[in-house]
Amino acid sequence: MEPVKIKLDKSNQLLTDLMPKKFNASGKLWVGFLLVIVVIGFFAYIRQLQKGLVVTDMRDFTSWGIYISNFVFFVAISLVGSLVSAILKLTNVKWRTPLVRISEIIAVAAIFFAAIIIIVDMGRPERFWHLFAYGRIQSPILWDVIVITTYLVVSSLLLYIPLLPDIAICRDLTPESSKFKKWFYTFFALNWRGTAQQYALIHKCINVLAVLVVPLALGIHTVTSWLFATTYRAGWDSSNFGPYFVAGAFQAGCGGVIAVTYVLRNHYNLKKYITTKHFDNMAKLLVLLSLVYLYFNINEYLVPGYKMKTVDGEHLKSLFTGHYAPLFWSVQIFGMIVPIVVMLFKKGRAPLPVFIVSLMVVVGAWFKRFLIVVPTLLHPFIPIQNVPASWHTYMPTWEEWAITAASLAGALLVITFFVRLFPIISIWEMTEEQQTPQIDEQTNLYEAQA
Amino acid sequence: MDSKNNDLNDSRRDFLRKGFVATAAVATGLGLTETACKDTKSKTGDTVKLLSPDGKIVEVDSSMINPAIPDSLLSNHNVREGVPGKKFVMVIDLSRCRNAGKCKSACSKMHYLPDNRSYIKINKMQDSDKAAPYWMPTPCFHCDNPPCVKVCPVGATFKLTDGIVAIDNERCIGCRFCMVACPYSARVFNWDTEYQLNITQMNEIKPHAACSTHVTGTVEKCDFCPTNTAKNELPDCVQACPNGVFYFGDEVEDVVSNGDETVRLSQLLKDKSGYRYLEDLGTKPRVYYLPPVNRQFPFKDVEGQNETDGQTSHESGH
Amino acid sequence: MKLKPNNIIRGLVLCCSLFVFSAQRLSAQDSTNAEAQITLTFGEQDSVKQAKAVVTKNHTPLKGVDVVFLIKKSFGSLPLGDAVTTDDNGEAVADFPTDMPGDQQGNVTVLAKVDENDQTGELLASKSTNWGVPTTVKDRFDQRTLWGTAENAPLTLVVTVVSLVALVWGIILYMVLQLGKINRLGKA
Repeated sequence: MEPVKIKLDKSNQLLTDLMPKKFNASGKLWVGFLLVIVVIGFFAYIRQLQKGLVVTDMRDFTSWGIYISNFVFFVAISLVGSLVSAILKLTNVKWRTPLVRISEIIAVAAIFFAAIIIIVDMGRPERFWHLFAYGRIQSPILWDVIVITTYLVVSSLLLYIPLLPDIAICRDLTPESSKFKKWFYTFFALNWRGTAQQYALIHKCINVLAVLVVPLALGIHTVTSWLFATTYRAGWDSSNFGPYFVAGAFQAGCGGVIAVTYVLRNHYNLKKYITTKHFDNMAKLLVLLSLVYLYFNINEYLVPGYKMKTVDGEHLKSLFTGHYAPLFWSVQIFGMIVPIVVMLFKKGRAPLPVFIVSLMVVVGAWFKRFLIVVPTLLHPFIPIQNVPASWHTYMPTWEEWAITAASLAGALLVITFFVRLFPIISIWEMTEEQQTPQIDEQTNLYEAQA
Repeated sequence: MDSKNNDLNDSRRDFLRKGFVATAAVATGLGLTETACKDTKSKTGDTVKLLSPDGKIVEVDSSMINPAIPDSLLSNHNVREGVPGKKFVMVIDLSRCRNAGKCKSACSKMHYLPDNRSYIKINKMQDSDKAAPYWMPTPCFHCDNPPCVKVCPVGATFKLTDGIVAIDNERCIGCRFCMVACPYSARVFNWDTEYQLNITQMNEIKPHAACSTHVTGTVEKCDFCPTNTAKNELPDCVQACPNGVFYFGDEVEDVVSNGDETVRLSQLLKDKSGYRYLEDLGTKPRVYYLPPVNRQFPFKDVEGQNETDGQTSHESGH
Repeated sequence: MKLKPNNIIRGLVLCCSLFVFSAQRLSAQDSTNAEAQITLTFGEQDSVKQAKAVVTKNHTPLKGVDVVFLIKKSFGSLPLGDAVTTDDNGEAVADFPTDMPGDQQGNVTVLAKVDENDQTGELLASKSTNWGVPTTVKDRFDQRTLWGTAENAPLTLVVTVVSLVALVWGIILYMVLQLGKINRLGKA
């Protein structure tokens, strides 16, 4: 195959549109806002290190709280990397090209902060090395450590390798005067010259990684579900938990990538590259994924709800009609049913409605994880008694909210800075597509038929 | 494996030793210097900071610390070894429990816990609406198929050969997976620094080196009072109960005792229909219950025992 | 967690010291109640093993004394049924159960005890026999189980995890090598 020829001058419209741009006023405001949240969260974490986990509202019964539910959320969001860059690639969906890098950086940022938040949850974070020195392979936590580390590395490679030609463009377009920038791009561009051999190598790598990342992505979320499903607890003791978590993760991740894509499209004026067609397609995908998740939800709640075993029954009652009912039904209706209904209509698949619906999906997904983790712990086999009244409930403290918000802000900061440094839509892949218009038309035809 | 254990044991011993010295230093003032001078070891030049009971930082040469206490004063207990040839077992007779609470206070005292905290809980149970309520004390069940040990990522909780499920608080990373894995809510966490022992208590707990010193950010639970059992003494909750609710013994001997009466374990379980709580979970607890029949005391509810109504009825599993 | 020699020695020392200790106590009691004595013997009748205690005062058998037979255990002494009253010969007999666990060799220590009373004072005799059922502690601690130590992880689990990790990280390593190749190709 002929290597892609990228013109490095003003005549190349792709470069003008897609090269990373300096933050404008709103961009700076956004970064400042995120930094403030991160700093507050950092301060809260210092307090937690000094005083111990007593600064949280977790106690002997609710021994896991929003740190863990936030961890599960991050793992869920990170699944999108494999969805767009691997599954859509392997199924030959051509319109995915402008979305690949967005979803891959979301995946890397999310899985990175999933690892961070799990350290925040530890009572003795300075003993983290014990996992490597004394690790027991029998523990699902160790499986999670292994699979998350692996996924982080593979996702980073899947982000970095297709980035090489674009880093080289950045390197070549950076004037000698800005020394650090020049060095930075030169270092990461790995002597990229755009030769046919080099292109052949990246294509090979991307293909291998795309195949590799799919089982890994299923793995991270299945193993994470096992942290719960391997216990006897009401609401967790379910053989349905692996696929249930994977389905929820695909839905949340799809919502996440749509939301981020919408913001970037408007902020950097990428309407030419990310078209209404993209939103329409992604919306259809999100409907499908939401339907699958709805199916698993029905399984997960209807089957034990039909039997109402003693402790299961109490747990379900607290979700259906009790303390957590308002949150539970909000999440199910606004995080799943409403999005499905809205996006079934063509008007509902326009960019703005899809963006709003995606935000609902993401927020719903966060609270859904809370509802998976916390209410179960409040319904142990032996009823909670002989403890202070406050131990019967769980309401996160400001420190927990601050640290959790900081982790979310941190993930967004990673994405923001990535966009500042690198082209968020792959220039060389877009050029490649433009240079092979026949294939493009064929794909469009194929899609129109479908 | 063994060398690791020894290291760990040594560090624990060192810690206790330091605690001992710090107390001695405050108690005897300058006397410490004399004691240290008697020892042939020369000064190393390294100083060690110690916290005295009144909160002052005392700095002493590290050479003064190790020789100050002979090893014999400290327990040789290895946290990862059980009492050889034993399989400890407990039987709890629910027909005798009237929620006197003495087991809890004895447990708190033995383990240097605040009054409102103990490893044993006395739960109000009611198997169904029509069934009579009863009290059920729950220590750790020291299961033979322990879900908590299975899930521990670092081997901080483990089975001893004598059947006890023990915890190494120097190893625990505080992930609390064991707490959610335990179906009986037997485990508690040191959320706060307030439970951490001070130097005086560390000195007092010296004979109980096998027991937790409440390391902040780690999990702990009932340990069947390992220093008692190693000396053929009953755990403190068993000794403290005024109604003989708890029987404790060795399954290998097939004998359990509540202090007053000593009986064959198999005979007791046979005669009184002994059972294990939630047997169908397959955790194989080492704690058996005798059903709450022919009760010795009328059930008297306690104000504020259970703040949430409508949550009390549960299958007791028998 | 294996039985180590020093633990066995420790156990032996403990047993010996217990024995010496109880022997001392016995002799002390004998001297205070010089005239009353209890002796414990073992016998067999109709293939039933029996412990026999003889209570005497000034070498004359005492009738009507309640003797309790016990077996010494870790956390207390296990009574062998109710108290037995001595007959005309000053003898009290208790059947020894066939299923009583002993130590590893089947040794058990039997006690014959007379509670404090005006006639005899407190009497105690103790004697060991190998009538117990030898006990062996069945350990699953060397087996590979899910609750075992890190070293005792089930082999299938270890093989599965190690091979999966090796496979995936092998591919990752290969990818990194490709990056090196891309780098070298650019230099040329």
